[in-house]
Amino acid sequence: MNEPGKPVNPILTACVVTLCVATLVLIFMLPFDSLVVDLIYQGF
Amino acid sequence: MNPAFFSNRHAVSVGLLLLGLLGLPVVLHCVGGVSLEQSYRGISERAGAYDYIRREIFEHREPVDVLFCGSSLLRNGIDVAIVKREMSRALGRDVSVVLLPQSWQGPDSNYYVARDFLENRPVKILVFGAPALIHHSSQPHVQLFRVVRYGDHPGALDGLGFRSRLATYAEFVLGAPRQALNLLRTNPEDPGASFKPATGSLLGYMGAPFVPRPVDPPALDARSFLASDRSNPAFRFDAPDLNDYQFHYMEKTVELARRHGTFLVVLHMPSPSERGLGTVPWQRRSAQWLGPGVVLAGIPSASMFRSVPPDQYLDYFQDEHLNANGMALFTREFTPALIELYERTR
Repeated sequence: MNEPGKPVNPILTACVVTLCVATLVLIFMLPFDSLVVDLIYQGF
Repeated sequence: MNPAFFSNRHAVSVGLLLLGLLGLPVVLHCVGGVSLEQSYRGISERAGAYDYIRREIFEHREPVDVLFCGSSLLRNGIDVAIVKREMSRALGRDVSVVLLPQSWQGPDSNYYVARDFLENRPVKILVFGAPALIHHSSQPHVQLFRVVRYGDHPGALDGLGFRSRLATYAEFVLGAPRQALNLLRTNPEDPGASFKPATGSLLGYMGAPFVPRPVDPPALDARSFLASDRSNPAFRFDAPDLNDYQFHYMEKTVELARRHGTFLVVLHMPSPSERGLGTVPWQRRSAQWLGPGVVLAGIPSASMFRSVPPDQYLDYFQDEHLNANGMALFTREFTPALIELYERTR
C-alpha cells in the first residue's frame, strides 16, 4: 500500500496504463481463432 | 476506490512486465541464435503437416520440379502420386513433386511457408492455391504466430496497411514466449505426426456416406485451363474482390517467384457452388498477377464434370473440399496442363 503522503507518480501511472491499453489493442487485433482454435486443437 | 498501483515499485514492475512481453519479438530477433526450423517443429498435425513441411524445407536440399503450397482445399484436391507418375512418364525421367499443406485459409501463411522453401531449395514450378471465393478474412492466419517470427522475412510487410501490420505484430507477440523457450531447449517433434501426401478423404458430401466413383476424365484441351493474359474466355474476372490483406500476400508471392526464377501457377480449386459453370470465376484483381512467369489455372466446373451424371455431382465433394473421388478426377484433369506448362518453361 502507499505510504501516507507518497502517492504513486501520476506520470508513471499514465505510462503503465498506456502499456495496458497497447496490450489490449494487440489482443483485439489477433484473430479470435488464434487463441481459441489453438486451445482446442493444440493445447498449450 | 483502491488505487491501480500500490506503490511506484508496483507500477514499475507491471510496466516492465508488459514492456517485456510487447518487446520480446524484437529482443529475440536481436539476440538470435535459434534457427527458423524450430518454429516449424512440434506443431500439432491438426494445424497442418508442419513436421512434414519442416523436413521438406530444412532436411532436404535437392531441387524440386513442382511444389504445391496451399490450404486444405489444395491438399484435398491434389494427388501428388498421380502428378508424379504422369509427369515422370511424360518427361521421361523421375520428377520431384512436393506438397506443403496447411490447415485453414490464409495466403499469408502459404506465402511464408513457400518463401522459406524457396530460400532453401530450388523450385521449377510453384503451384499456389488461390484464395477461395468464400474466404474473406483480412486477419492473419490462425497459426501464423507459431511459424513466423519478427524480422525473419524482410520486406514481407512492405506495402501492408497499418492495421494489418499491427495485427501481424500481435501475432509475433503471441508467439514470442514459445520462441523464447527455444533458447533453453529445442521443440520436441509431434510424436503423432504421420502425414503422407495423396490420401484423399473418404467422406461423402456434408456427412453423407462416401460413394466411390470411377474416374474417367474426359479428353480436354489442357491449354484451356491456363491463362497467361486476360484473353482466355473460360476465365472471368468478375467475382467479389480480394481484400487488401489477401491481395498483398498474393502480390508478394508473385514477387517471390520472380525473385527465385520460379514459374508461378495460381490454381483455382473447384467448389460445389460452381455446379454447371462454364467459366472459372476469379476475383477482379487476380488478373493483375498475370505477367512474365505467372499463369492462372483452373478448370470450369462444366468441363471437369462433363462425364459425371448430374445426380452424382456431389459425390466428388466432402464439403467445400474435394473428397477422394474429386481429388482423383481433378488431379488427372489438371496434370496435363502442368506438363504443358513444364514443357513451356524448359
